[in-house]
Amino acid sequence: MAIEHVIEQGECIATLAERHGHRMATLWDHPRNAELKALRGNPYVLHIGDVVFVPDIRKRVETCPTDARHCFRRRDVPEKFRLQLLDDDEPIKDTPYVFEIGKDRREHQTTDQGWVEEWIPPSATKATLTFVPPPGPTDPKDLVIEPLVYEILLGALAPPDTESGARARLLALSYLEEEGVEGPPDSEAHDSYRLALATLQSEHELDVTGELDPPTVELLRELYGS
Amino acid sequence: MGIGKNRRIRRRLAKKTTVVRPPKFIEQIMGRRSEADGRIRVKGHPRFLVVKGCRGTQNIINLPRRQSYFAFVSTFDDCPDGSRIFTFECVDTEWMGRVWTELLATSQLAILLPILSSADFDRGFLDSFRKLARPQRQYLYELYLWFLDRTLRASDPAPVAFFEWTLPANHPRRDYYEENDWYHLVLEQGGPSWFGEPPGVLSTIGLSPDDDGPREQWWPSVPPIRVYNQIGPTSELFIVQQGLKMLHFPKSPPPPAPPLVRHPPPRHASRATPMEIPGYGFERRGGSPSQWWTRVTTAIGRGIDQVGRALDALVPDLGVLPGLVPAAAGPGLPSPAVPSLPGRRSGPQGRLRPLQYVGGDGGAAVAGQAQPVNPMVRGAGPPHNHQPFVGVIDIGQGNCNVLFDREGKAKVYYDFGYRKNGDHPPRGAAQVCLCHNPLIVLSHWDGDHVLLCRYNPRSYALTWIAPQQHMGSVDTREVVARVLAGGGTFHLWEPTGGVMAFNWGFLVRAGAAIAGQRWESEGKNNTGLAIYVCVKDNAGATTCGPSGALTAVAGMLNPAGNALALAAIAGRMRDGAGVNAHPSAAAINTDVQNAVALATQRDAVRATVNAGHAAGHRGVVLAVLGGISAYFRAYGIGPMPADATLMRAAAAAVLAEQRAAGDLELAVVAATAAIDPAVLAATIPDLVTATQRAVADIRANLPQATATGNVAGLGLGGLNTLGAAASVVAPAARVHAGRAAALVPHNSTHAAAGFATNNTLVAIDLVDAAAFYAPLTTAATPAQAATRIGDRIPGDRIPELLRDIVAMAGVALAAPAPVVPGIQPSAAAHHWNDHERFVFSTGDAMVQFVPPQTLAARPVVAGMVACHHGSNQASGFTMDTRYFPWAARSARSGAMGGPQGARPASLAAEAVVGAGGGAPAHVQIARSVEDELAAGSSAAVASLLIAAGRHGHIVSPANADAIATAAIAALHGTTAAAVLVTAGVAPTLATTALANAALAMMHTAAVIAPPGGGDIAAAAQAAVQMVIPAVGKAEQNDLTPNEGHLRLSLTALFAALPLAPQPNQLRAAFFAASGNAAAVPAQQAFGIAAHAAIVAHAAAQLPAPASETQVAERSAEIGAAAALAARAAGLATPLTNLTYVGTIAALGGVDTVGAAQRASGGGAGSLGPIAYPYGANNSFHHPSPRAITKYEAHGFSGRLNTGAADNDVALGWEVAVGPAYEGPLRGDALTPGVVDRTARCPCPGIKSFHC
Repeated sequence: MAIEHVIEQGECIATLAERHGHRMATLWDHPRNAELKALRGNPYVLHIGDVVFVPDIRKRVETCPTDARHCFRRRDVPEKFRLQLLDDDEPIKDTPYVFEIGKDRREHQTTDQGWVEEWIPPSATKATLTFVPPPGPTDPKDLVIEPLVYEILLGALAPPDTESGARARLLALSYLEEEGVEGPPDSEAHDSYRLALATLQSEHELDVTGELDPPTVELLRELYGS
Repeated sequence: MGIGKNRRIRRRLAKKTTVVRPPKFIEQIMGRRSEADGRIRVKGHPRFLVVKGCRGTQNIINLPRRQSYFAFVSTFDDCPDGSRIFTFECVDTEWMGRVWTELLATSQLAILLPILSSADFDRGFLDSFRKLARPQRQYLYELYLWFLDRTLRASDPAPVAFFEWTLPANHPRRDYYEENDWYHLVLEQGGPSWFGEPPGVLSTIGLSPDDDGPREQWWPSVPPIRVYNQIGPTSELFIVQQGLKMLHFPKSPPPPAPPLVRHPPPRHASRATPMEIPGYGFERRGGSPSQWWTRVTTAIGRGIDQVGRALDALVPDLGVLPGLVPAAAGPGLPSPAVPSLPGRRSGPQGRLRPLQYVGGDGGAAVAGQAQPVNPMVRGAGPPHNHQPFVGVIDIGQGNCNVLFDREGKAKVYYDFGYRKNGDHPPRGAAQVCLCHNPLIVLSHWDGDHVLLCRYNPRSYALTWIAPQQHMGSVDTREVVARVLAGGGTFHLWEPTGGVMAFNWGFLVRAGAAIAGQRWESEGKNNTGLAIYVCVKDNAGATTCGPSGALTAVAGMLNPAGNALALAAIAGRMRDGAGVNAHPSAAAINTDVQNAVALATQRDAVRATVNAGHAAGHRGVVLAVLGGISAYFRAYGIGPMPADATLMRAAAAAVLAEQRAAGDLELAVVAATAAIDPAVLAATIPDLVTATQRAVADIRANLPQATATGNVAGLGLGGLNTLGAAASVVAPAARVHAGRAAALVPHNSTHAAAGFATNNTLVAIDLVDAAAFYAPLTTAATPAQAATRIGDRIPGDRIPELLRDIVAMAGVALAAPAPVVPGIQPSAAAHHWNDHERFVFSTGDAMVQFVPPQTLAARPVVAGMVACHHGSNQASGFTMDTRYFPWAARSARSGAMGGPQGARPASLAAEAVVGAGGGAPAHVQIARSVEDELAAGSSAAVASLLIAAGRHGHIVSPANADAIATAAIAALHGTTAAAVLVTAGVAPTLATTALANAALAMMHTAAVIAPPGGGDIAAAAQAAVQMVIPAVGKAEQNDLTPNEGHLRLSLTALFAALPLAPQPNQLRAAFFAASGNAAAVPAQQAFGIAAHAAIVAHAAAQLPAPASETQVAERSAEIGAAAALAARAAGLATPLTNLTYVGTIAALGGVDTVGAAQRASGGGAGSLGPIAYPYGANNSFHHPSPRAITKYEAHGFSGRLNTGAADNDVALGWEVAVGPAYEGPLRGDALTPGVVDRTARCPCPGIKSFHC
């Protein structure tokens, strides 16, 4: 039975598709989701409270001969997680890391562009990434670099045109020292948020307004990649 | 558009460590770090973060590489160009994050968060802190101790850095940053930053100066923003402003709980205030807290708490927890009577103030009342004959003053600073003398007033006093932590006004004088501690302190042979074979029964002494006994101990000396205890043994103490091990138990036991202290002891006084820890008289914020250390002479026409009496001249001079007529004041008043303005103001034309006085006179000087000389007048020196003061009574050039003691032997212009000072 689902933390089109047996395209391209698609533009980045129409499952009949083995592969599963690691804007390349998702623990290394690429179940909501960043050219020889441990909340990234989404991206891009919480316009938390926006805007030659205006949203989207 | 390629525009805010959970992860990190050897530096990015990501598409994590700090604005300084220089004291955000996480993981948020939410950690912190409930204060105090300990953890010490940052006048955030708040500071190199923030200089501070990093230029990536102070639902996840202040602000423990007898503790009191002590204690134990542990220790603590309270009630005088302790309030000392201060007489009339420096009101100190000697006043004979002084050490920008006492020892340091920025002393950081365990007083908490401790680490083992302020920087916690870890004691003067009186002067809390203002409102500079060092005291008062007592007793013993008696008492027995042959002892013995020497001749005592098997013991015992006897005699603790008692005392001293070789303190105390018949000699070794065993037990059972978790219990248990000698050690046990009980309120109530480890260490000190005090306190409780010695000496001062006795006897002792007296609720602790002179230092406080400077009768200042703004606000506060009661080379200014008024006729008469040595003929002359002057006789002064001169007592007969003639000629040639004074327009009330005013004005001018120039207009105006009431008018405009004319004449006259650098003959004469004033009473000297000054001044007002002959004549007149003045005031001055003075004055030399000093055998020249410890022309403009200008306008030159080698300056008061001189310090007689203590102490500390 078709339903209208209200997006919660950690959900995106991929998780809904897997949960209800659809392909992502079935949901994302459905005419009743056209407005949402136009608004968000990215099926992986929805906002809490967005409404997604989930149509009924359509039966499909495949005819196969008996006494033979047939392989059916569900599309869009698993999903791919891609994360680029940068150190002061330079890729952290060829660096070992540990990626843990559920009970699955994988040890790989980043690509020459600093990418972490891992297959993940679309329903997974949390992963842990541990790696040791390489020393910088000016770091002292006796520097002991401790491992960095990131707990990644999958599907929690809000769209860039929301304050929550902007804060998350500013944090990831090192414009904010902590994501913080939304506060009143005259609060200190808001000051640091606006300061980060202003820094971002100035560095990329936008009008420095300290506000999350459309050019800044597009800039965030482009810098972050989603 | 991608991630920036241009590094110049890639400016980021760094992430900071926030909630680094789970703790297990941190433990892993900590373990890994601890395995690494050497010092570890970590990158400036976080270790654990939560980020949001998305599936399917791109995500990014970009690590910053910045230096990220929590930065405390410890100070800022405004420059004349409007720019403002900030000093940020920085702690690495990552380190702070780790500590914060440990705190959150191990403390009880249910306790912590309400405190953070409810207490005002902004400008109301101090008030708010005091209003917290006692358990909360205790919690914060323990938390503070934990934090201090954490900062010194060897595997992860706290990083420290300073960032000096200058913002121009037009910078938009110049006024945004406030002192004493924490900010986020993110720095990067390779600027400029996009925000256009100017660069600053970052200094990384190592564990020791050798580890300090270079000073480098860094740019703030973004404007520093204030650390949040919002406590929200998730606030525990963030480091907030309150948290940083909570950890960094020094705190003292709450007052002990009321004794049991008054307020029986409620059942389960300890449960009512459960507090989990953060991990510090657990780590020390190597385990983790558990419920059973809490239950066990709580139960133990509760039981011991009740026992402790009971014991505490029994022994109420045993003090508070060592370590970080509050400066105690009262009972202190009742202050001397100062009429303008209602309520000052808090004690009985004439009651002894034993801690008071000497100096009764108007010399009215009552003979026979014991007053410890002021160590800052020179004594007679060794070891007290060194010139005391206040040294101003060149430490660059900052302040460090040292009090060298009469024994040549550095006894007190007021401020212990070293340049944090600004000028650098040429020799580098000063190595200072700490050989005698000096007290260290911090005026306030600025680093440039405390950082010298890094270069003199032994200071960490000393006793400190500092004000508790709205202040707690990285510096602060570093210093306090190291002092506590180094075995020192830190006293915090809580934000309350009052004074702390010592025998050398007093400390006073600044800021309290400003009614209605909170302690925080004026910042740390103006709410700190100021010091008044009494460098000239009441020589006329009978002093019966220990040293005086010794002399007095020696005199009683053998009036004709004090030196012999002293030698005997000192135990300088050179004949090693025994005491019988000692001649001086025998000499004493023949005179006085029951004297110490009598005892020394008795066989029993001799046997005991000789049983010491070491010559040193004999000396010690004799010294001790001599001192004790003198002590008893002087303080009227009669009768003198009988022979048997002295024998016991001797035995006790020997035994104590044997059992604790070199511990003369123990010997002294043991002997003292033995004198009390209540304590048999046989108990002394047992007491010593018992206390030593107790200490050994505690030390041997330290692990057990840790496990037990309550040192009070262990302390009591340790005492039980002494059960075999229970009857003997009962008194000692009581002391121990009392000491332990003193811990209980701090300890067992919070029996979670983390704190107990610290207390265990403290307890060892306590038991040591108990061992030290046991014989004394068993001889008599402090209260009883006080009663026995006439309620004159507080019990806790007795060891110090005994030590002084022994020192007087010539035996060197290790210096004891200084005693910190109580705080008295007074505005000042001085006497308004002609005797006391002070060296005044305020730290960075402005003068008007120091309470004594707001009184009508202020301490008379002979020297001043002017820091920061020159101790006189450069703007917004006009320098007012009312705030500067200078009295260089003078009696108090009040004697010069002040409150009592000055009668020229009387002064003249006194001058004659003084000049003539009081001969009847001169007295008669004086009285007749006085009458003439009072009647306005025009010939009075001339008659005076002629009469005195002809009698040959002012100058030689051969010169008398010539001088008198010159003087008369000068008088007839003058106008204005001299005429008014001497010619007598008419013997009216107005002219008499004007005459008085003129003289007073000259006095005032002479006092305020030395020969180099001065505020003549102010002096003239002062004179006019005196005229107005004298002629019965209400205000200046009411004066008649004639009176107005006279007033104008006065004004014009003094306005015409030559200003610096031109010579000022009036003042030249005056200073020449006063520079030799020691031979006659001050009043008389002034009288003579004043009249001589009139002559000199009148000559100076003559029309310009028309010929060379007139020039010569004029010079002769002036010179003769100056010489007359010098001669009149200092009869012992050789004629050659008089000629020299006169010549200098006649030739218009500007160095007339120096000439006078040289004439009287003084130093190389005047350096003025102000020392500026800050460097000149530094970027911080310390001291303020405007302040210097103001001081100089009043004629007080200063010394900038930075910028050249050997620029340490000495201030003080000197009474020279030989050529009469009394006045500001000029130097040792052997080394004019220098005081040197190098020979007194072999340590490398600075001991040579210029003056």
